Amino acid sequence: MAPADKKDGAEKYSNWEIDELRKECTKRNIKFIEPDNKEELIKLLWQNDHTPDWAEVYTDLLCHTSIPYEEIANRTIPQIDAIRSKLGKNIAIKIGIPGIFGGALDNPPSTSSPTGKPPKLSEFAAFCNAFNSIS
Amino acid sequence: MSKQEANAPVSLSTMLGAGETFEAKGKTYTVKPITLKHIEEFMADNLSIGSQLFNLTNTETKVKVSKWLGGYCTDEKGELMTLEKAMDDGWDIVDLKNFFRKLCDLSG
Repeated sequence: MAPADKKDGAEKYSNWEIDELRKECTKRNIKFIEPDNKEELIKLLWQNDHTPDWAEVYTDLLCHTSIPYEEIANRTIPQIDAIRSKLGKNIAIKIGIPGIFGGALDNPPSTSSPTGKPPKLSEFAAFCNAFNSIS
Repeated sequence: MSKQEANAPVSLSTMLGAGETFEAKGKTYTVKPITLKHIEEFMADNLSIGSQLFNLTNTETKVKVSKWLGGYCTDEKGELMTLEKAMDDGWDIVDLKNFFRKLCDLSG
């Protein structure tokens, strides 16, 4: 196994002081045993950086596919990776679908007129007359 | 995942979870990737994926090896493998190591 500071993404911790590393571990609730060494703390932080957030994975699949919750566990990591990598191609995850849960159409339309004043009677009459030609 | 990786085509075999084949002593075996529900159990079993001597030296780990062979490896007839069956087929520790390597590679 490569030394902790040679691993992908671990080099960012190599210049940190041991106190900073300890503080970061404490902040992230990473348990470490005293006395510790820098190498060990970097390894713990690196592992923490690479731990997947399964709640996020499940949420992606539940919100953007029709896979039932129980079925997700029957899939493999490469399958889940493949599905998640293609999600953005079909659904704008961050934008959302208009009209559904936070999309643009969920905001109620403004009730006031563009000028901020109530319509005049002549404007109201013109609006009603517009329907006369329909019948 | 980078944009390039996201655009890379994914094989049908991956999406079906069909697994891949490997050869041992002239026979072909199929190894399937581990499903999410078994990942934790596999990690907890703490089996060596390098030298198989450590896995075969005590009864407890031998049972675990047999369990993973039985769950994710099939022979040419599609029948699930066991450690005994692997030994009958003449597997050595390198073949067993190849099985575990393949299992880990496929499972992500």
